[in-house]
Amino acid sequence: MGASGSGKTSMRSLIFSNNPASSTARLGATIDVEQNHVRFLGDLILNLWDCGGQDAFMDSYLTTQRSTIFQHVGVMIYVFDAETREMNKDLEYYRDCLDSLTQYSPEAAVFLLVHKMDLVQEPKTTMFEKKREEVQKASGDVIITVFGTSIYDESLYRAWSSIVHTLIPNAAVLNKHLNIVAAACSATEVILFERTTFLVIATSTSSSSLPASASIASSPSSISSPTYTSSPPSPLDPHQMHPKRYERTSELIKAFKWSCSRVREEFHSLELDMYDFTAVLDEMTRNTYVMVVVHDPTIETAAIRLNIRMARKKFEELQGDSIGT
Amino acid sequence: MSHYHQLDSSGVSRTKILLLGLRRSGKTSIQQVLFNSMTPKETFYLDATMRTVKHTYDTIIPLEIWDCPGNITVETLGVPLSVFSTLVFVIDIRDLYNQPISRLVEFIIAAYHHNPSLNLEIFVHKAEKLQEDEKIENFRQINERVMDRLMDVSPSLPNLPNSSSNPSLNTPNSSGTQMNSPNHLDWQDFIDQQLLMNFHLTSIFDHSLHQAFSKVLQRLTDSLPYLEELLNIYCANSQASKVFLFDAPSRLYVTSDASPVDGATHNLCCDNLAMINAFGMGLYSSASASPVRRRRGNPESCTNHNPDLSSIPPTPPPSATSVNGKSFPSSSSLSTHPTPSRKSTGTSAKSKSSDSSVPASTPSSSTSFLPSSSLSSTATTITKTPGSVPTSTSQTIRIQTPQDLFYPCGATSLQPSSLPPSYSSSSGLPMPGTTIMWHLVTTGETSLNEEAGLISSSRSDCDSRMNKSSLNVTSSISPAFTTFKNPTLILLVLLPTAVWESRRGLVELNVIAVREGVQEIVDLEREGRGTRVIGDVPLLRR
Repeated sequence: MGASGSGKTSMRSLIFSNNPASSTARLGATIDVEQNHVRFLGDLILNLWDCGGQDAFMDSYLTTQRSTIFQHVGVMIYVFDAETREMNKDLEYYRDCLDSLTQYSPEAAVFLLVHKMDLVQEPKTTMFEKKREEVQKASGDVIITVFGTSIYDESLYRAWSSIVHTLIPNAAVLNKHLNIVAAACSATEVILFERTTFLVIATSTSSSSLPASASIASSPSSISSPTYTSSPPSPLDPHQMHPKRYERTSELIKAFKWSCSRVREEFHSLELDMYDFTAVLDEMTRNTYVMVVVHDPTIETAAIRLNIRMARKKFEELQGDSIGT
Repeated sequence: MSHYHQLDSSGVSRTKILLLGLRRSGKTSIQQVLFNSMTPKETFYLDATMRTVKHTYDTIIPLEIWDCPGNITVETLGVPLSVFSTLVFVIDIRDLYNQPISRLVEFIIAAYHHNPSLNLEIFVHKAEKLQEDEKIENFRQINERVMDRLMDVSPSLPNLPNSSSNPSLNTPNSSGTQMNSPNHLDWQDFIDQQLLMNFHLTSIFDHSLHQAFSKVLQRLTDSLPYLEELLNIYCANSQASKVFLFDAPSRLYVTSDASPVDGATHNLCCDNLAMINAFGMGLYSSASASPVRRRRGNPESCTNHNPDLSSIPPTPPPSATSVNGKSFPSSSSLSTHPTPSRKSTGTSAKSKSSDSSVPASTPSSSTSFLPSSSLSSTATTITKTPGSVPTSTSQTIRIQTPQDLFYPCGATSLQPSSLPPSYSSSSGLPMPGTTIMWHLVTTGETSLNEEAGLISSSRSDCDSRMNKSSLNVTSSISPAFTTFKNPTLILLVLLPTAVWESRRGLVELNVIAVREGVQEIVDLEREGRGTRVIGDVPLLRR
């Protein structure tokens, strides 16, 4: 939900329909509620309700359609336009929606996205902090998580990875098995992505506790660090890798997948042997991709691929279990 | 060299490209997007260019791009047109008025007088602003109007700088292109036959700009036939469907193999390269683990690997006038591999022994080692032609960029969208689909210098240990020339995935020959311009 023109449908188009950011300019206003059934992790179906933000619709959601809209909600994602001129009106609608949500679906998680951050003048962090305070105040006691996002960079992937992460019940089990794979490959890091959206499902946290993974394994009680302030890597972490690497990878792969589709080819796998690292990105199960990042120069990509092949069966099993609810 | 290179103040002779057009036509955006890695969206914030800015860029050839303000004319340019090899004229596609065409024609007339062999590239730019039909219509109209105007113009307009009145011009062509010279082509013939003019429809928001400028670059590369031949040989021996040699930061392709370049394939490779560049920006670089990895390319460590080369003396310094038939091995296994070397006799002796030592590949496999005969003939051709240029001077400068032990590489595998449902990865069928394999072929020096702490110190150790005498010699050469960067070139190969999976080793081995050939060509290009590499003193030959 969110005000008209705040970017809800564009986000959906980018993340779930694999359209490039440039094509979102052609999207029209959403009329009433658009329901989307998105297959996530194969067996898990996400029921996305993209609610048109025009005043007439908002009023209707809060009155006549109230119980329909706000019952059985798992996650509410409220989108604010960072450049809005009607913040007070937006906040008022938000408060009303929040009240309705707590009334009908008190267990739902609440995520707030301050969107279109690319249009904000530098320094972005001050503006973001200001907005964050405003929405925090409007939320009262309800626990919220706030992200600053834009469809033109990787920040949107970060936000959505966090959102869907809360929907995966056995993240800890996945994490454990990714650690086993990491140990087998002498890898620094192993990341599990969902195949279509390329959102991060789980990562192996090796010896370090990275703030990025901390936010991914978030319970709704944490307010994750906004993307427009760089989260400092934990001092215990010897690797000190780029804090935005997960979402940046999602963004890069998605962009390339789109390029491939234009020549009617489909991206399948990739390997990189760079100066700084070696990585293999290959399919794990029919719904997930795995990326293994290795720093040891003696390790060949073929060996990594072999390990991935051998781990497949286990992960297929795990996935069968995880969605079994 | 077919282009006249004027030595600039630093003594480096760069190929000069003049970027012209009316104000707000998009010149600076083009230069920034291509050569300064600016994203197209950021160009919105660029200020107007007030003075001519000269940007240097080192790709297969060293370039100097002159980005001029919009109001510059032939008179206010300040230098004769003869110093430039190419003129890129940018016209906003929506501008159907006379002004850009008048300015363009003025410059064409000046070229007629002072530099008839100037390449003229016209970019009909900002194509993204119009719909498909209008785009094509405007493009056609601009093309037509330029041609019409050229027909009408008389070249003896009084307000043009006549070379006789401009004593500062001392180009060798000037005397031959006086208006009244009997050797001078008349205007009509010039337009019909000599004028090298090309129109391109471009936009910074898609790949059309890169494709257009790639062609501009290719027209300036004298060694293009040799590069193409290298790639053709590679293609034939590796069952590749297409091979590109890209300049990595600008994403312009320097060469491709001889088969026609399909726009969609080019765009895919360009996007793949953008992704590779992004991953290469330290996305997964680790503060603790990455520097250790970089030691892979440490020349110091390789001295232990090549006992069979110990008999070959270390590389004579670049000031020496000849190099004994030295091969360019990058690892011990390659000492038997046929390589291009400067003395053809040396090569043939080596290749004979290498033929016997190479295991016979099965007749059905076409991915054998590069046939030594064809490669050495290419090598001799390479050495013959440009070789004549430097030997005329008493002080022949040989540039030999040392080879690293490790070059980044990778592969992206694609599958056709419509995979037959019966297909599964465990069946015995070969994998369908294409793989884009890429290898870094030449490293820009900065990539080695970045790990300064580790690499440069070890290099200087190598220096001191092996080349003490040569160092003394090189220091006696006057350091008049500035550093000249090695370009960052990447080879992109499109292969069937089945070939890549089953013949990977051979395909990658063939790349090494390409790498050596390309590096040699790059070195020769720089050599022929009277440059010397400082700070990249070729150390030992491994």
